[in-house]
Amino acid sequence: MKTFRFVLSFSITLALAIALNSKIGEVPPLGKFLSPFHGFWQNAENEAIDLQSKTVDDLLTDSVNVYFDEHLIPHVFASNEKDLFFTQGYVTAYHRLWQMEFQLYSAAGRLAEILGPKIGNTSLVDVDRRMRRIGLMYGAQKSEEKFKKEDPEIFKLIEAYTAGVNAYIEELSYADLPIEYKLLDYKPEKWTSLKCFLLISNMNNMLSRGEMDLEHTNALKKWGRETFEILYPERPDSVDAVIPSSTEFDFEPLIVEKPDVNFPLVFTDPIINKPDPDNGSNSFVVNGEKTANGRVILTNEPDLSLNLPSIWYIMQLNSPTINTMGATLPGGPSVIVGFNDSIAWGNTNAKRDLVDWYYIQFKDNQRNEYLYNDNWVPTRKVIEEIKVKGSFSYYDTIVYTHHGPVVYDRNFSGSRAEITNLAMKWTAHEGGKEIKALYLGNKAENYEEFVDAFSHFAGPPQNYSFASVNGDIALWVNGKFPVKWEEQGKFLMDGSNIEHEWKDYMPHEHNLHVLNPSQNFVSSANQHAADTLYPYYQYDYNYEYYRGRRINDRLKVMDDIKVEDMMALQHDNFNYNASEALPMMLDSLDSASFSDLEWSYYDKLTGWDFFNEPDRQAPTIYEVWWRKLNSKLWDEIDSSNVAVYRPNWFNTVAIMKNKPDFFMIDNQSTDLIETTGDLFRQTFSETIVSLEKYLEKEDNSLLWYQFKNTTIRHLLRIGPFNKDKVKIGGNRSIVNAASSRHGPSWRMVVELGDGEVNAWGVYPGSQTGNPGNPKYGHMIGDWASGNYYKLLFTPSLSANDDAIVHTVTLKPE
Amino acid sequence: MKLIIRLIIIGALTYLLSPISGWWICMVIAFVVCYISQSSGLNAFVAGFLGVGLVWMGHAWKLDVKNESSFSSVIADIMQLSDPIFLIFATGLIGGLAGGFASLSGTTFRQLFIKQKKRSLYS
Repeated sequence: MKTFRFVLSFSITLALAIALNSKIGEVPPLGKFLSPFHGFWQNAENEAIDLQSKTVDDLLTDSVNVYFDEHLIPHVFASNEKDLFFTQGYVTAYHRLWQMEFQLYSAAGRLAEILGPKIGNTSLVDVDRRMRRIGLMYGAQKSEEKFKKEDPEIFKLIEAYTAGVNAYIEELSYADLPIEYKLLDYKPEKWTSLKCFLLISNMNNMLSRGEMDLEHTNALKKWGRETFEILYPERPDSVDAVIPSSTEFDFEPLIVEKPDVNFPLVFTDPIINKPDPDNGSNSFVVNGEKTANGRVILTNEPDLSLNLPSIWYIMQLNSPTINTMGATLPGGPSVIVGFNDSIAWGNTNAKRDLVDWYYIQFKDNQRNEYLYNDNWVPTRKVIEEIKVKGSFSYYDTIVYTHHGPVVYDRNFSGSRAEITNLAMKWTAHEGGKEIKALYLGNKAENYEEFVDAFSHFAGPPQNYSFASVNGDIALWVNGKFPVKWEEQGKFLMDGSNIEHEWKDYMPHEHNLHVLNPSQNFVSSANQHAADTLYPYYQYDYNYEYYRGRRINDRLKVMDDIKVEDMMALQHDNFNYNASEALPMMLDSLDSASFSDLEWSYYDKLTGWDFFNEPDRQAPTIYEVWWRKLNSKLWDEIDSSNVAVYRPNWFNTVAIMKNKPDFFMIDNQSTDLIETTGDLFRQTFSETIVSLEKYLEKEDNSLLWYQFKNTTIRHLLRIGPFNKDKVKIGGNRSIVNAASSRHGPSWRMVVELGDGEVNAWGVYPGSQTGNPGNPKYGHMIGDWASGNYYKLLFTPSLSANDDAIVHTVTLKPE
Repeated sequence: MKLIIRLIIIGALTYLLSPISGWWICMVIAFVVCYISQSSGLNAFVAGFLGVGLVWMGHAWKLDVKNESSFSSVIADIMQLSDPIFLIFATGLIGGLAGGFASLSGTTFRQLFIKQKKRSLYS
């Protein structure tokens, strides 16, 4: 009896201990998680900052001081570069450890390892497989090899950063872990230098993987050439390019002759997820001729997903050889977008099709050889082990050709009717020296050093804008670009045909650039890079048509510019698309037969000045109308049995204006042959119906910001960690590009001249990534309403400065 | 009286040792304390339940007051609880259950040991 009692109670105790120590379904391990000495209670911080001075790793050679200002921006002062980058890693990990690890788990295709086989209906194993198939890690490994071999000194600095992150990780007990680790029940692993390179691969994934080659092949096969050209013209009228049209190109271009080609016309469907097509940026610079005080002013804002923890982390890095400040990416050394004592730089994505697909013919089912140039060439196979939390590992064999990984094959998706093997060719697979470019750029003192530094930047290609304290302004399109013949890689190509291969890369000095143009400003917003006089073929499916034109329209007429004017232009809410489409849409309505309700909507639209201010109603009405119109107009595309895509907004307006007979204007679901006017009238009525329904719900109003609901979302999409209904105007394709889940992720304005550098910045989030910190997300309100913080930037600081709220000293052992 | 002394010892040790150990240390403490001192099963369970539970709840409550419930209300929201006060109760309950069953195991283990002794006397 007593034995039984013991065995029973002990079994219950043991089972309880195990249960409380394990994550069950979505529920975190309750014992660990609720323990007030260890669990989430420990993540509730009462002080904004609690990092303590301490003795750390013996990799540090001298003491380093870190001064935090009131915005929690660390100003790192070290006596040499190694210590500087060590501390950058250490301090970044203090604020952002979970985020820096998690985003690279995603890039490495390891989400199932920490999150289990699926979330909701999404199979994380599939997500991971696709990530591995596109080869982000493959590119990162190439970069690491290159650095080890060719730039060992810089590689040492990357190792110092890595050591800094690890020194921080080693100090952590369970109680200190960021809340996300506790919710998901896993621990941080050791940081590696490879992860720093994977971060660059991840940037490439966001910014240089966009393409529609396979959709183009589908469209061409489905509708033929004529329709294809109407839907997707390469270069419509009124393109306002990045490089001013007066710029001369005084070099001998490399020539590649267009061979006599036949693209393989095979359907591919489904197609792997693409990066968000809205990923882009604005940057504009004016010189002293345009400003009130004769100094130059540079602005930049990268428009990306609006996430918490924020994409960027602001820092000042100071050693005897470096004094720079700006936005860093958690997970890698150096400043990405910023300034130093002499120069400022910003970047916007320089879109160009850098991913091409090759149709592969294997010799047999073994897939050991493939046809290339009339020979059978051996493949290389890599078996990827995808670990799955709470389950068995999943193994995926990826076949590599000399083009790159065969992403689409019989293993890719079982649902495909026809098995085609498609290999991916991507500049990001070749590795690059971006970290070297950034490191040198952080130290550059003038135009020549800036040009040299960013000549090492392979990808994702960027329009680098430049301003210097001596008054120069410039712009360089930096990146590694293959020299292509016309339409090379716009469609699926033949992997066995040597003529379909990339033959060469453009020499850096042939990249587009301009120094001190006569228009007294430079700007870029992801539009076409240059006009047709540029001797190289440039193509991308997704050039921007509105932001760049608006910025240039404004800069052309602006004079006596002050810093505030540049800030105001960053917040410009002019809806260029509406200004071009809405008058045509309104003209078609038959106002004589309007009901009162229709009049009220009509009046709001006719009285609108096309500015998407947060508290107006017209932008909401226009947005709904425009969406409904696009759905009706492009029903042939949306309901296609193979993957195709809608034309961009700019071309949509052009087609409605200039091609009233285009067959897609007719709505398939009706017997009538619709005209554009019919579509406008129908969708106007539908808009009113749908908005009246929307208004029935309590708290809903037509105010633009409420309808748009800009949300800064936590990476795990945990509702209470999000910040929603942010009161901000704008939208996609507007200079103030804040749409519902996407927008300006860091706004920076730098004024240089008279030996001074003054800078302002703000971003939608906070330095701390901890949802339990009182400052979590504290900058969002200021970001939305257009307030900037003056950035503290001096060559020396001390703990006694008024601006410093907390000081930490790291000492070597 | 013995119950209260045992309860206080379990609570005090939990409070002192938890910060330098894993969350499960409260179970080890409850087990050992109830193994060392003789008591009935119910008595031990109550001492462990209240000893650990009150310390967990009290400490959570103290931290929450300091933080003005700002973070606990976020976590409560995630856990689909309407009020952070339920998180404090849940913390006490989970700590209590862990401590209570560990104590019960400790005391039944002791009884097992005593029984063996008795048996050896008779044999």
